[in-house]
Amino acid sequence: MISLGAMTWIIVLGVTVYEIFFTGVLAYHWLRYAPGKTAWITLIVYAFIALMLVILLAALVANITL
Amino acid sequence: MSTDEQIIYAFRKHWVTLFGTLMTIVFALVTPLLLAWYALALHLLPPFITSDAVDITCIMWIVITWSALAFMWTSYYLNTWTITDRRIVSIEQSAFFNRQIVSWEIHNLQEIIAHEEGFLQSMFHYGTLEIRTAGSNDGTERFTGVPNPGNIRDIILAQGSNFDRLVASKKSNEELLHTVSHEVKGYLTKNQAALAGIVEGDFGAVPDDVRAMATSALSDTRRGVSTVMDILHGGNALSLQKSTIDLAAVAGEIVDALRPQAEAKGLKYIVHSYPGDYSIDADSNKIGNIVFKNMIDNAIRYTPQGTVSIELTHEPSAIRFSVSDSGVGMSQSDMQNLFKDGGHGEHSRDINPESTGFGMAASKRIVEAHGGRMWAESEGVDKGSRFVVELPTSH
Repeated sequence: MISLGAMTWIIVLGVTVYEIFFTGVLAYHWLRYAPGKTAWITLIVYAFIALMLVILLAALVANITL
Repeated sequence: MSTDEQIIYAFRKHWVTLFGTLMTIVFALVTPLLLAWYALALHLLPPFITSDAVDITCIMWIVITWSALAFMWTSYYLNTWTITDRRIVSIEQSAFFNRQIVSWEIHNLQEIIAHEEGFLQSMFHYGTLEIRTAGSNDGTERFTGVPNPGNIRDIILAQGSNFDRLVASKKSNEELLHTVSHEVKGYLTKNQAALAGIVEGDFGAVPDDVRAMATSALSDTRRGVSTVMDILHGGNALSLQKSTIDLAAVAGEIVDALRPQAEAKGLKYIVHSYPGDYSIDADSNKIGNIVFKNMIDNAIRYTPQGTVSIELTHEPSAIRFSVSDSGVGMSQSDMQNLFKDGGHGEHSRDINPESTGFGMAASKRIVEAHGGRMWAESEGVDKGSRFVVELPTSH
């Protein structure tokens, strides 16, 4: 049976994969249909906050499990 | 969008319309977080839900709402309306992979109504624009959240009236050009007959220098007649006599008619055609005798030796006719001039002295008048060329 610690790390991995996928979808749309400064600002802000959230989640899980 | 279409004004929904969605997302973000932390603080949660589990859930909830916020901003930004000198184009991005582009011809608009109703709309100057078009089923299209709808309405109306003036002016120019060209063609044809008579000896023996001069004048006159014919064809591009035609049959006739010309030069004349339905609504004479003929004739003329290959294929929503050759090819500057009236390649007159420079321009105009497109490809001088025409099957 999968342990609680492993399960929380799977959640972190899932969220990371989801954020990478979502950022990719955003980049595809913005760079294809509205390339320019607004597109890059949107992508950078989104990716930065998403990265912070993933790091926060990983730190929390690490604090619990390690 | 066609190359000569101009964008007059582009806009998107008023930013206030973002506000409602933004508030919903913020509410959806904050409420569960507050409830969770409140329940945690007051020990209302069952013992198996630890504070760590609540924290992880909260962060995941923030991840989801952050994505929703990005999605909302993307949908807002990619939803645009554009007014060109011919059309109103609406691009609606309703989900990430659901993009709809609809356009309305400005000359089809019958009525435009601008509304600004309610406190918020009056305060922030946005509202609804209704356009009624001729020929549509329900007749009315509504755009909501339009900033300054009154101004937008004025811009569209101004474009409508410009368009009407432009059409009238173009028609009058075409009529003038047609009349003048016909007159000139009449004189040139008489000259051509007289000069041909001199060259061929119909008026008896003439001195060699007179014959040489008449031969040169005959060549120039023939070029003049060709130029006038091309101008007439090009000028008439918009007055099409359409009917349902079998494009394969039209292409076949022209291909067969020009085969002797290719064989006389010793060229390999290859025709690829595939079974299928090639029926389209088009002007058979203009597509066949002007466009296809020009393409094949040019390929033969500009290919000293090698191959001329003709292909007719069925694309998902268009029929494509292409002519490839292994001839003299084109430089970048030749390609830029190719579809301009009187545009010649740098050395085209050396190879084809009768080139008028109007044939390709007239052909392109005819193809575009059918809603299709025409383009040329070449990897450079002496590397052959490929001319392609694509005609929509439902136009």
